[in-house]
Amino acid sequence: MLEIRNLRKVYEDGTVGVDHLDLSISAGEIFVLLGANGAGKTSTIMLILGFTEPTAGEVLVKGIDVQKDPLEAKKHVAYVSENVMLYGNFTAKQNLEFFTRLSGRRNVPEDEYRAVFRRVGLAENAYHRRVKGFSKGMRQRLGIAIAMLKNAELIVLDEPTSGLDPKGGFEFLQIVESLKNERKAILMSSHDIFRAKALADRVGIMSEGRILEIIDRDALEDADLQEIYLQYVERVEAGATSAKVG
Amino acid sequence: MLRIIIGKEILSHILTLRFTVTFMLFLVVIFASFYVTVNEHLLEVSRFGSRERVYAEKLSDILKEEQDFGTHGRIERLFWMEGRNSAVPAAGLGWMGQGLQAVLPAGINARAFGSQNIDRGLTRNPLLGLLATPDFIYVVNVVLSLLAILFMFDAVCGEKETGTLRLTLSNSVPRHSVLLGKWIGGYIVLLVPFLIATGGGLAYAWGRGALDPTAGNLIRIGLLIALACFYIAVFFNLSLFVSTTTHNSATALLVCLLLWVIFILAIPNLAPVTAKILEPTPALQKIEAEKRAVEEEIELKIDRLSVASGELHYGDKIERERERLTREGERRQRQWDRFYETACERQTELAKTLGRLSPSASWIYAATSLTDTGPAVHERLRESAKRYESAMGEFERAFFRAGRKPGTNEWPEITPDELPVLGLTFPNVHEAAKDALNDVLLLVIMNVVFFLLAFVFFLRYDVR
Repeated sequence: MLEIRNLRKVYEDGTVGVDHLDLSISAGEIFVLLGANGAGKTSTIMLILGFTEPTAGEVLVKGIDVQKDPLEAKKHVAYVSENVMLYGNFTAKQNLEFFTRLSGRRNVPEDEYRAVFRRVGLAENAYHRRVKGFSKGMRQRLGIAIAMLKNAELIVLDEPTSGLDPKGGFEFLQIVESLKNERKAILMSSHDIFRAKALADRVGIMSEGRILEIIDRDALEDADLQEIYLQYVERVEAGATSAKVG
Repeated sequence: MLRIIIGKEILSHILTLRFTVTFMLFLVVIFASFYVTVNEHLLEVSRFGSRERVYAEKLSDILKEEQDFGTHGRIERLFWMEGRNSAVPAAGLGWMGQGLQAVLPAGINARAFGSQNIDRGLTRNPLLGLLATPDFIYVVNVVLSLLAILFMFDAVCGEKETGTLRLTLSNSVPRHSVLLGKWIGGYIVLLVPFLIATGGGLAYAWGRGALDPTAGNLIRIGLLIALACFYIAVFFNLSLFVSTTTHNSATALLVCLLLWVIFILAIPNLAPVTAKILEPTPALQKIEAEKRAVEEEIELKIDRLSVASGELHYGDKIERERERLTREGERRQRQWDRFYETACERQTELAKTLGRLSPSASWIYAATSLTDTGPAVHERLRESAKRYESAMGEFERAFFRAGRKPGTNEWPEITPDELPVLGLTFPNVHEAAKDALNDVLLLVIMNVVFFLLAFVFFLRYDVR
């Protein structure tokens, strides 16, 4: 579903956002990009969504090159950001309707909106409430509802549980898991090692724009992900320090 | 796709406090403006009627005066002392834009040798000249342009800040549709209350009898409203452009307000003063002194000629020479007049050109062309006054050429209808529209440039 080949992004100030990244995610798979702040997770997502141009390499969504045909590629991608900010003056229903229509789906029955609304765990009485009164958890849920209504094959989640309370985070991940069962390919960035381990089919440890190691489901069961992650981070930091000294 | 975004924009604007405040502001400001200017216009029309009556009565008194030898009778009073007064009428749509009406004279007095303006007197409320009248043109210029900016300054950067732009563009939506949708949606939301309030104001003007619903007037009003919409679009595009070059609404607002001050307050107000400095005109007194010098020189030459002719034979040759000298004097005086007029015209043109760096000046020039209260009418009045003066002179010469009544020592009677009148005519719709065309084109260019800039910058806009 998602193919990333030799992707590189160097920003105008010389910062390397993504460095020779290769990645493939298939339908029904949850891939978690694990890394600290500034590791290149969001840069990768921005490249997948076509928001920035890569310096080199390519991103293919369902075989469509994001750079060459971004509009066609985006038809197959749904995106949930770290901090879902919707139109505050709109009700939840109005937000759902707008973004669903924007995704290309017309004449979606009211029942479907309500069903998805319930599925993401939002209370019925919130349906007609203005979003500006929603908590972060509610907005995240509404964000995933929008992504679900788009019916896209690839769902990209950029640190979706960041800032959520443990219960909210757990419930959110349950929703993500249910999407996997619908054969959605899911790319999620996170710096939460435990949630990554609980949810992912594969975890890519990312630092300085590179995926240093990919750990699959079987290895994850036995691995001490925290230790592996910290080892990599320390190794990278040591490398950076010696480069500075040199 | 475009319709979805337009619909969203309209809804998102309508649900804001900004829209409610704007709607109320439009209703109050525009209607109050129409109320004030319509009533002021009706007063002006009534004052024009009073002036015409007073001037007619005075003329009638002059023409009834006995013409005895040795007294100042009707001929002296009409041709050389008091002359004929004509009132300057108020423009039919002056209530939509006062323009230069306040600085035009109340009337023109013409005698056989010159004319003068009848000013509105020192008893007039001086604050009327000091503070701008909040007419329709003023409200559009100041209030509407500001609201246009307040509607659009955060169109792009605001959505970037809240993150909705990223979510929107993560869908299969072309960027140009997003930009165009924002533009159209915001424009409709601003325009509808404006048109409703303006419609109410026009209905009031019609009800009070200030709006004469002739085809010409209705076309002018239609053009004026269309032009106002066009003018608002300039500020819409300008703030949209600023919004696509910034990533923070506070910065965008600051830049937009700065540009607003430059375009609305600085450039139009500084242009005439700058032109005065760059293209100064000589003092009118200096021109008058030069003309007097020419007159004295010619009189001296004629005197010398008379002295010489006293020694020589008096005949046609000398008479022709005297006439030649008189004509030469008149020609040289006209040259001085022309010199002064050209200098004034150059200064005015420069001021206009400098002012046109701002859309505000273009709006005012074009709008006052349509309401007949702009520089074109000022020019027409000047031309009419000149024609009025020269017609009075012509009438006087013809009167004396015709001579006294045959077989008597009496001068013929003069009726008011025989005498020249000011004859100020306002341009027709076609002429007014033609006069406004350059400024309309400038507004078109500004719209296109600002929108294209916004478009180009938005295509490259970093939504991260």
